[in-house]
Amino acid sequence: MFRNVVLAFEGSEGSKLALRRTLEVAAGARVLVLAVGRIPEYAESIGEVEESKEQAERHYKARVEEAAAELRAAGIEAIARVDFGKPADVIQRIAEEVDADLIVLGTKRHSALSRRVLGATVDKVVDHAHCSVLVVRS
Amino acid sequence: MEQVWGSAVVWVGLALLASLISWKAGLSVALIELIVGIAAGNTIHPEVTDWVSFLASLGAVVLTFLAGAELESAVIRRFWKQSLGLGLVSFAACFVTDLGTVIALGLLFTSFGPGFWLFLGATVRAVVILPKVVPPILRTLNVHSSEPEVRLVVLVLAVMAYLAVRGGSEGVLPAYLVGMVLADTFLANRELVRRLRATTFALLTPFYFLKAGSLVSLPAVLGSLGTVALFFLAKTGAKFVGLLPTGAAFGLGRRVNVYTTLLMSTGLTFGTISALYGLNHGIITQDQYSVLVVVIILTAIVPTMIAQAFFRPGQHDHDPLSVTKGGR
Repeated sequence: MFRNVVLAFEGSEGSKLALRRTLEVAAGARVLVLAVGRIPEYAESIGEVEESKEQAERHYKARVEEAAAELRAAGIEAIARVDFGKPADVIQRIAEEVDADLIVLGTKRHSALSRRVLGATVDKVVDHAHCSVLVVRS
Repeated sequence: MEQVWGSAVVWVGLALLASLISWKAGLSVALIELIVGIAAGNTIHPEVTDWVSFLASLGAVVLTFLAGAELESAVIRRFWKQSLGLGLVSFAACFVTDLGTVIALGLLFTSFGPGFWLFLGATVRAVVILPKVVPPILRTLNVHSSEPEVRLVVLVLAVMAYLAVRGGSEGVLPAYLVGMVLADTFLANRELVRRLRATTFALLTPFYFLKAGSLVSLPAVLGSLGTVALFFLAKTGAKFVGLLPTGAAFGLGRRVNVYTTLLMSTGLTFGTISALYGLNHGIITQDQYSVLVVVIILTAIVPTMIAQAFFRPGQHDHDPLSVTKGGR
């Protein structure tokens, strides 16, 4: 049914549920398992940005590789990728890059304050994505 | 001893709080540390002890060294005119933009006594000798768990800072030059950079930015909001007057030029160093320092917000500076 799927995955319980749902809906599709490391805004130095990127790479690489391996074990073509930036922006940009027809992401409940102040990645992706978005609630 | 640990609990607690806020909000930790410092300084009044001041100074020195060590010599050789030109114009227009600023600040902070000439001679020798002697030493030292190469770097910086202060200058200034001349060595030794950065960000720079923030008096700022706005507009406006024509002369496209100018309005490290120097040497009062630091924070946030929202360069914008870096 879907050709190209982007699974946003950072190893949380929500994203593990999203992975399980992807296993159900992505048969025959290519899946890009994507983790996004945040780069601090208003960073003072290249060092701060580099440090954040290296830490995110170390933190997420094994997780996305593991998720991609689980998909491949189920017979689904899958690759893993770690990218950097604002999660919602990066998810949308890469979904467009790979011409995705579905984005899958997990979510958890945010407090009203957190949602208002920090915003929720899922809200932004749902609002602005060029393709369908499957939100899996934990 | 109890007092030492009491202070440690407060300062390290603030550092952890800043780290958590930065992580949760996705904002620069330096910025958050300054803001947490301001909040703490105006509420719980953490004591700025000698050891806090030492860690803060060492943090500023190593942070400045790392900023210098981020500059690849190939890029500097190719863009030295742009880098020095923009840096000096930026300083002349206001203050703060790395290379040109370091040179200008070095001269500004200095009293030209015998100590200065000793410091200048030592700096020139260090700039010439260090790139030759440090790489082989690092190759020999990099196999021991006691981190001798990190200690060597800190020792070099401490010696240079000592000579700088003795010469009536500021300890962080030679650190940038030392970082610059050792940049290629460090870029080839990513693991050392990573360890030095981790140590600095975890235990040194929090003290610097927290301390710089804690000295800000909010009542003074609230009583001078007009001055804050005026200084902010003057600083940002001066950047535009100085940098836009210079960037255009160096072939930056309009969008990239505005974007670059806005991003160059920021300068938490050198801005706060200048302000702290003024405060510590009685050149400015605490009220004036407070206004300056708040302006520095605003110039780190507002122009960047505007740049990201309205001037983020697209793939087709002409940016000669990104070519050798492989583009965006």
